[in-house]
Amino acid sequence: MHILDLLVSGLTLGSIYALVALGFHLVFKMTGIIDFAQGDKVVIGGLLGLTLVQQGLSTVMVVLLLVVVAGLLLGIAYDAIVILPTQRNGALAAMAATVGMTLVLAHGHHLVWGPDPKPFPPVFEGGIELGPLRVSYQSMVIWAVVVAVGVGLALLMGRSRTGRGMVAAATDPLAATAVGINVSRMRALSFALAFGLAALAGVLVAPITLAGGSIGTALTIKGFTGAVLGGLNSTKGVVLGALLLGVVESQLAAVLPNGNVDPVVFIALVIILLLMPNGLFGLRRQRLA
Amino acid sequence: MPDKAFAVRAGRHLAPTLIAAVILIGFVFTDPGPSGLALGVNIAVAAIASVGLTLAIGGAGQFSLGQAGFMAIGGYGTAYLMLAHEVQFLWALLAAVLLALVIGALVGYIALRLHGNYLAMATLAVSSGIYALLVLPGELGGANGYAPIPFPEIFGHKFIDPVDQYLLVAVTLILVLLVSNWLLASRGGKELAAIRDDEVAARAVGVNITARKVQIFALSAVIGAVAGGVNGPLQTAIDPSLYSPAVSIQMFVMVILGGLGNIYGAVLGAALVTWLIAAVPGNGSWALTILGMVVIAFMALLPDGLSGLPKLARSLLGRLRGRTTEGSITGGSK
Amino acid sequence: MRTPGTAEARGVTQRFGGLTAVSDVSFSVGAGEIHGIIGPNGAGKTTLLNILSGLQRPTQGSVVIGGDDVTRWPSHKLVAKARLVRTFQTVRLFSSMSVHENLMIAARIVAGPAEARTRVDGALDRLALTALAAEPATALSYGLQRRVELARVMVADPAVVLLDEPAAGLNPQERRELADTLHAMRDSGVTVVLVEHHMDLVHAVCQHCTVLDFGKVISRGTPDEVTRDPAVLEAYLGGKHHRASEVDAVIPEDLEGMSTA
Repeated sequence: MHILDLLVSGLTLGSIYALVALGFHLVFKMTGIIDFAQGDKVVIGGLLGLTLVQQGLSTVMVVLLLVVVAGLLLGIAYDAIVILPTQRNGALAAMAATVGMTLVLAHGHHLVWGPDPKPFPPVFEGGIELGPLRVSYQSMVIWAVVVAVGVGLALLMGRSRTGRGMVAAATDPLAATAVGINVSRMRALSFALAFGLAALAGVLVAPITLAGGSIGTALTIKGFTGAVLGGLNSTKGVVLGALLLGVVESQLAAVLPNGNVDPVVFIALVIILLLMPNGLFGLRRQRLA
Repeated sequence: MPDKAFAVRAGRHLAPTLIAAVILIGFVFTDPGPSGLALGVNIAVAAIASVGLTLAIGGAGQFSLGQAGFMAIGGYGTAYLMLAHEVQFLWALLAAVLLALVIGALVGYIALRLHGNYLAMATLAVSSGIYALLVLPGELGGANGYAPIPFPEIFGHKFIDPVDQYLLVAVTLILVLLVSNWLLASRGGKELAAIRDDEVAARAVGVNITARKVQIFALSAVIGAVAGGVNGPLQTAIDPSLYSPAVSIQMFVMVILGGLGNIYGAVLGAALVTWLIAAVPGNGSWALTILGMVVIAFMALLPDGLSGLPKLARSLLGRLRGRTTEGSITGGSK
Repeated sequence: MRTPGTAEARGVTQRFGGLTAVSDVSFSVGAGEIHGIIGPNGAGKTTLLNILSGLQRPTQGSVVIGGDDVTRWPSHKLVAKARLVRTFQTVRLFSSMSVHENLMIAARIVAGPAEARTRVDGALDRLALTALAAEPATALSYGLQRRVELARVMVADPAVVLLDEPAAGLNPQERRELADTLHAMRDSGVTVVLVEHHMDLVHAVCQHCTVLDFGKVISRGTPDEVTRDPAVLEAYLGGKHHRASEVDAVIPEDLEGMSTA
């Protein structure tokens, strides 16, 4: 494949990782917890989208919107049922609970949708030709979504009252409470966004990877790798890190026998954690924005 | 979570191991039939691996989500040497276990520098990486699996009969329990307890923290490899799905349900999880979904796992008698 | 059969980011001597002790124990080979263990099982803790916990002992007992470096003192000499500096987060 084609597919892959990585970032920033079920939320989003499509909903935007709303609500429930009650027993208890949640999501969806991955009709058909390079509308939409989400989050955090409240609640929950910020609402918002963005990623990626199946854990590790590559503490960092990971992974896949990049990426994660735990863009002490 | 939740309760007395041995051996006399014995093998194998994992989690507070990776090294290593090089079972097992020792020590060094969440993610990545390598087409058969592995043979005795096969695994489990028990009561085990209590003070009295932590992690990997290596030849065919990251997560769940550091709890957890997956219809989907919920409920209500039940019972009894109970059920605060 | 150690700091400097907690500190303690390190809060005493005991690597300078440059030794080697042990400002006992087990952990580092048991029994006896041997260590009163920590030091059969404010939280009677214990230690040839606030204890046991302020040595001499030194009075009483606890806040009192590698 041409190197530019690989760049296109790499950026698309990286964009999906970015949506997963943003979820890691939001939850970690707010609670200090790393959510092992992050990748499994993506699968749930894809399957929810599939059900809507099968119900006859054909307007793409409506499907996306409904899935995001469902994700936001699931995120709030997730915090209330899984994280809050376990975090009282320590961060490690909450971490173990998210591991339990991977089982619930990864096997629970088999009960509803069946164990096999299912084809998902392309959300956006066609593409544009730029000389020898072909960019599908699907890819372009995914890129646009990531740019919009990234800019939107940056604006939300930086400008709005809610965003400042989130930053404050994440930095010092007690002090935030003291100045009248509703910390539990800010938490709920973080978890809602983390689930909502993952669900959105699920619908966007399902036409490429199929809906369902057991890719949750791999997505968790890859999304996390992207996040720590850029710097788990920085919004900009996790997006750029995830994009970089997607691009590198696509290029590597073209070079490696069988295209099996997974072992390389997984070992890379260990090395990144050891050698540059602050990531490429997280060297300075960063705020949420 | 308080350190005590992760404390390995080293039994000075061997009564629990004795009881476990009686139950494990006694199972044969209940006329379990081939399917019962096969389940017994699966339970005992899972129990061996999760006892090993318990040593890392409870012994050194190292949250590993990678035990299936070490089982894979044991399983594939033993099988490969037996099938491709016609090595005797015990020697093949020994070689595979030594490989796991080396890799375990390496990951153990990594584990020194990563804590909690990060270590869990890193070990999950290692386990996923080993799985991804095994899926590759090649000499080990890729996703199609590796077969036919000869039955294990020890001193001329071939383990073909299901009862023999079950006994092989059961006796291995009993040996692993004895060794773990002895180890936790030994000087090294006590030093690990000191590290859990207060790492700085342990350093100050001269405990070699690096050595102790790497040792226990490597031992945990070795026991995982023993589980995989004993089981592989009994199955005559193995494939990567036996050692997927999902299996690593199941191992973690067994240890959590058993109480994060109690080796007998880990055996109970392994039995419960393995039995539920086999017994509940739905190819494990129902069982694992429910188990996931149980884990969350445990972490919310009973972070000490099954081994916290006596404490819970005591506290409830105390409440019934109208006394104020000391501390919370969990004994944990943030 | 012990060779009593000498303890020496040579130009020890420790910086945390922009802050210099210990600056070019040198002193030497002869074998079998009790040497006091005194100074106001935040003077860098605990940091200095952390460096001497191998829990922290100095930015510059070196530590010499019994003639060996031990600056880069890991703490377990310091205990096993240089026979250097320490106590902490706030008592740090192993909370899941009995008094006996606390001592046994330390004794087994340097001795075989039988010898360790003898030493533990001896130390329990000397510090009148025998009756409490089976008690959970952290269930004891603070004063008794201090004594257990001291016993844990003794069982290591140390050549050099570093004590970080051992009198903190003790009543006058307990302080007198502590002074007796320190005298006994010195008489058996142990070298002691004592960080202390209570000047009565320093006067009672120390031959020499080094006075720190803002990480620098401002005076040295016998306890009488340094207490008469105007520079020392200035440091303790002078209000012209910002002697807030800023420094304390930055210096990691607690080394929990430090890498053990």
